[in-house]
Amino acid sequence: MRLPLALSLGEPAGIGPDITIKAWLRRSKLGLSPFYLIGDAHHITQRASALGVRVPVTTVTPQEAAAAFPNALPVVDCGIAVTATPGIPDSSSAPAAIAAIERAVADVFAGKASAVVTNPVAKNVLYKAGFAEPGHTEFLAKLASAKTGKPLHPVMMLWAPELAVIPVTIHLPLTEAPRVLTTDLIVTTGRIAAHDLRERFGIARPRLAIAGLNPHAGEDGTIGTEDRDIVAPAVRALVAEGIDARGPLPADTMFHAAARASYDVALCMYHDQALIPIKTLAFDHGVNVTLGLPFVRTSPDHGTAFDIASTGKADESSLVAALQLAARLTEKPALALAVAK
Amino acid sequence: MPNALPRVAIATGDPAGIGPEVGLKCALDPAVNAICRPMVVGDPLVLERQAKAAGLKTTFNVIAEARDAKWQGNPGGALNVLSAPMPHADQFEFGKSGANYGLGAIASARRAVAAALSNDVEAVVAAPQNETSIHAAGIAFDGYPSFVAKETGTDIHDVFLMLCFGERRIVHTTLHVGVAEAVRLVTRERVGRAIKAADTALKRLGIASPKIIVGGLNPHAGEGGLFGREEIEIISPAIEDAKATGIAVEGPYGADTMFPKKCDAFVVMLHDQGHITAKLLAPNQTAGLAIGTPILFSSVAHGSAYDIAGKGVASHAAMVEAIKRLVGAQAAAKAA
Repeated sequence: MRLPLALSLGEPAGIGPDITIKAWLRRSKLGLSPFYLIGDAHHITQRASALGVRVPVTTVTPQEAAAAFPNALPVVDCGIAVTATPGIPDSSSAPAAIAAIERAVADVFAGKASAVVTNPVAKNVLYKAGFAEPGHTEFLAKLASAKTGKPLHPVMMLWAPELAVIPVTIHLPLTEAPRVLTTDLIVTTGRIAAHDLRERFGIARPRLAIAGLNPHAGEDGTIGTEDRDIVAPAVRALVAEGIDARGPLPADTMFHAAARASYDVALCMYHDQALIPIKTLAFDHGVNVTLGLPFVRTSPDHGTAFDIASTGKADESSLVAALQLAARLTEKPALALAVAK
Repeated sequence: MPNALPRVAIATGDPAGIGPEVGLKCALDPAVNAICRPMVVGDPLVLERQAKAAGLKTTFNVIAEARDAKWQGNPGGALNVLSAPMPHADQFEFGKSGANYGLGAIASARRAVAAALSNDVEAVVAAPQNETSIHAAGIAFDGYPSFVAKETGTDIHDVFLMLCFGERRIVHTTLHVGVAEAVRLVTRERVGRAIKAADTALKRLGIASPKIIVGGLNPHAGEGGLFGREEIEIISPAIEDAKATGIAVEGPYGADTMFPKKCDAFVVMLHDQGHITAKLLAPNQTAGLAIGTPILFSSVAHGSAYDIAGKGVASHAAMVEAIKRLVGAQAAAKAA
């Protein structure tokens, strides 16, 4: 039997529990690969009754999860009781959320789970509890580095059947983006993207489209100099390494259907430049995939949505897409998997 | 009975690109003539070359002044062509850039705007220009909105680009400036002016009580100050200022998740925030209104397309869309 996916608790006061329950309820219809939730059986049972759905919950070991999955939602205990009230950010639940991520990574390294899928966390809640990493992605990289003894550069990719995008700079004030953006950063990101699209997604020769930072990709330095002085040299360096990279391209003409057919992933220079096209094309089914890690990690590409937690309104589509992509990327032997257009 | 249809000047833009062909196709299109009375503005020689290459008719009524146009001409009669000469038009080549082409493009836009200012036309639609040619001519140019501001004597800081497609409109607080410069330009005053220009323009388009949504500058609109403080210190106060004057406006919201929301116009901070969205949702049917000026002026969101210039295959759909917007706005202004 194939290994199950390890799904972390996420922010217990948010919609994570809701979408976990809804995804499990659709397991047969969608043919979902087995997964287990790392959390607290009592907490998830309570949420199911709040939502008015009958969900048998069973506490298991990872080894028992796949067999239990058809008949009950398997939960691997994260070791810390979850006390959160739906909709109310509460840092007392942060230790459980963090423990669940650590357990998921440990299970993958121990060969008990095939991949890590994470429910959304609330950064503010974790920060208040003393969490020192900027976000999930960096924390996962740190855990993986500790296991492998190698420094890692995690790369966030947002994937949907319509489009894959990588924001080269992510969650930082826009005023810092032009300062943080270096030729080295773009080259490193592009190199990891090309490697993982080849090794994990089965694309023999990945094609990278690299956006300019500025409008019209800077028009030869007349609209900001970064595209000429930082981005263009990065594209040349990637090409010199034998990577199929083009750019800097004007971001506003990169995303229509004909343009998308000409590349496998778009590298964007800041958050909104990447997130606007993927949210426009795949509002509810985009998946966050971390590249550059020694294991497969996916997550839904939305937040904790405290305002609709426990109301039944949360849409599980993105989590379902994250579970499905994680399963496809870890199938043995690795499938040739092209980014469909 | 006098013809009540509005008069529209079509500035044909970059002589070497698809602008003249697109403009002529529009002026000859029965659907366009059903809603307005078009006049083409450009170099007569260039227009003739472009018309012949595209297999279009070349019966022009070439005029030196807009007031000399024959608006009551028979349908199918000679097309009004307001002469806006390009230097050395006899050496014209398709798909070529250079100073003369830049001068030609500016001349057509300038004469069309002047026609609107003198009330010889009610609105102007402009075909794409080529910034390289205009710069080669030694003319500072960073897009039509600021050009129209200069030509109409409007404070440049009061003019903004509003992209229109379907039922959506997106107003850009900053346009053709680098990201680093855009961050500096996003001030409480400028955001306030953009919101006010949007509100005024929407009312001019016939929307009695417009609703406006403002996007953030930073990721997730700053996420409560975690990723930048401009939303807290600049954009939110600007929204409050606008509300205090009776404008229905809300935000700031993360620019990546706000576009499904219902409103009459979005106000974004950056060129790409608006243009990525518009070009994804309406690849060839986007009109760009320069709002905040005394005249009705629209450009089209596509470029000069040198690869297909002079081949007769260019689509004029985007310009028809722009003309429909202008005519709708003019009708609303008249009714008000």
